[in-house]
Amino acid sequence: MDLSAALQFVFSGITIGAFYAFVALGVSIVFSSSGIVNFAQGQFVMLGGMVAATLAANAHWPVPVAMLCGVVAAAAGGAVMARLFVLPMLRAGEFPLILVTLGLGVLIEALAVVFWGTDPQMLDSLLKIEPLRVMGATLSSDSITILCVLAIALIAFTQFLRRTRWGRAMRATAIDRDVAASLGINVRAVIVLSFTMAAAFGGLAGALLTPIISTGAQSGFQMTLKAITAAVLGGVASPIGAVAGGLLLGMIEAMSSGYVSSTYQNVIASVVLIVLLFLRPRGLFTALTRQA
Amino acid sequence: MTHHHSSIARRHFIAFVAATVAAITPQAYAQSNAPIKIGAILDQSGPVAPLGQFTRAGIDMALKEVNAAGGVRGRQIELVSLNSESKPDLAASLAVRLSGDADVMAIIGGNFASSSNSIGATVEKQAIAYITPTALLNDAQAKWKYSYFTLAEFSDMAKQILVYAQKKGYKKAGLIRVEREYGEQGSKFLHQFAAQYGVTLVAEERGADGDRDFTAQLTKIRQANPDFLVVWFANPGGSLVLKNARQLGMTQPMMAPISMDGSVTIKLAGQAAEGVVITSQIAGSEPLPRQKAFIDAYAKAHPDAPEPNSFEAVGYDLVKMTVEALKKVDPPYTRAKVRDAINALDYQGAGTVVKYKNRNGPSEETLVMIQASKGHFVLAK
Repeated sequence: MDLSAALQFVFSGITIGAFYAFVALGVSIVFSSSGIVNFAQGQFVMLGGMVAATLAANAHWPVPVAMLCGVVAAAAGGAVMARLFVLPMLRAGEFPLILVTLGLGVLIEALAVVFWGTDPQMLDSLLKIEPLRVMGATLSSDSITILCVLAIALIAFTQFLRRTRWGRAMRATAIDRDVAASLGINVRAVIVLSFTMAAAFGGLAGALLTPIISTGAQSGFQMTLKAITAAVLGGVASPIGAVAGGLLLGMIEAMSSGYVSSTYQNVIASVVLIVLLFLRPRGLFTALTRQA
Repeated sequence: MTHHHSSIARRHFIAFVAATVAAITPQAYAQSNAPIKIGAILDQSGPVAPLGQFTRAGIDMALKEVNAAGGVRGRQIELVSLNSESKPDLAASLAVRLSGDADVMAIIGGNFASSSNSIGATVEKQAIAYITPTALLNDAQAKWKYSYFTLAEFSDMAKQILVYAQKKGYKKAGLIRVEREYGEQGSKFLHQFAAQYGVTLVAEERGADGDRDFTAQLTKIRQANPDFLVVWFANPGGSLVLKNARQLGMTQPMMAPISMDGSVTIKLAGQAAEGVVITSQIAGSEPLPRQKAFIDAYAKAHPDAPEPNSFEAVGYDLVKMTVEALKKVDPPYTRAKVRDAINALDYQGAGTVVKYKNRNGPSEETLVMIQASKGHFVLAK
């Protein structure tokens, strides 16, 4: 196996990893504010991708506009979910809430199948740039796009957490919801905001990924599982940890399908996850990102 | 005494019922303009739903034509259609249900190998003829007396790919295939026949239906430097393979089996689909003489997507074949007569060519090699 193959595995690992990172970031944001894992997160990825693909293919909207609409639709879905289903259930505790997200995930998928059918949808690339070729390996324009957008989104989000009032309120809520409430922070609004942002990141991931792998109405739950794995791998309480976990998961999968076999990529990723959880139960990158 | 009395009453009653039945039945047969029923078991939901819907579209088109032309001997054809939800066990129980309706003369449907296998096993016991839009898989199925297949066998698809490669002078094949049974079969036959056509398989990689990225596998295949690439996959995975291969700068010609047929491949793979050669049963934009009427009618019925795929064409044939068999039977219709008429069919249709006397699968000329060209499928050059 030569260097160009190895480099190709790295490229495919960071592409799929960047996607996992986006979705895992959403899982982490929701977990920080509400203490629950959102099992409907993958459905927002699906929504973002399907709305963008439908608008571009059927209504012939320009790709950037269609993608933006996908993100807005997902964000709106997240806000509605938080306002109508999560807030009223807050007092019921975390376990019932997790079941509510699972149920909503099933519902969203069923509605999507009714609306779109089961056919996968494809979308044109956002940027029509030349692929990057390095030593015989290729990084496609779609991959370059998703990596750049991930970097921008991550910087913007950490700045938002540090510098804005709402960002600080989110951080305070993440540390201790009751204390944050006693300090006068509107915790309920913070929860709605965090679901909305998480869904927006999910929708963005879906919109950016659709040109690479297509999206189907039934693809959401698989995304959720990958995102939760990635978030737990990196540290679900930390946004940067979740992003790092996503990139790492993508890399593990690409390396195992490159050097072992794609048949075992999910098995290998799961084994790595279990081993790492034994060694570092709070996630790999929690210590290093505590201050973020 | 009472006992004797009631027994006479019962005898009278039985005689009355018998007389009524005797009076009504011949009359019902004589009038006999009630519709003739054909049972359909189609996977209208679940993972195989796209195939079920294609088949249904073809079936509906044929039904409309047949009934508009007066049906069979003045009797309309009625479809009793049930959804098997991509579940083979459900398909089997629906087959039992349809066999329970004495008016159903034949069954069509079953949209993937496992469901047609379980319907087939059921109809063998129920003694009702069954025509399926799937491929004959093994020797056990070849011995069945009531089940008839319309898609080319996997071994024939593998051979066609190799024949085409030989014609083009390709010697080294790279294979990327789906890891379930379907891909295993493809791999088995390609390995079995490759040498006969002067082809060597220099690399073989696998992937799952749900995988999103095949660059790792393709990178390994690229290193073996094949002359052409066989993508033994179904959509959407197969289209992503085509896309990934072109993104990696692989310029080799690519070939695929019938599971990649249809405009969905062009929709998903876009530019990367250009030139891909597929073992199909119809070239939607370039009809053979036996397909012309169907393709013209299809284009009229679907002005925005005027090119049918193999599954629509075969769905259309399922009805036409059954009707042709019914026309050869002298009423009153019985399942045994209909079955014998199907067995005697010599039928050249839109999506399949059959002569079931010798074998319950389609003839070799069923296969049509097609090629994606500027967003359409044409006959492969």
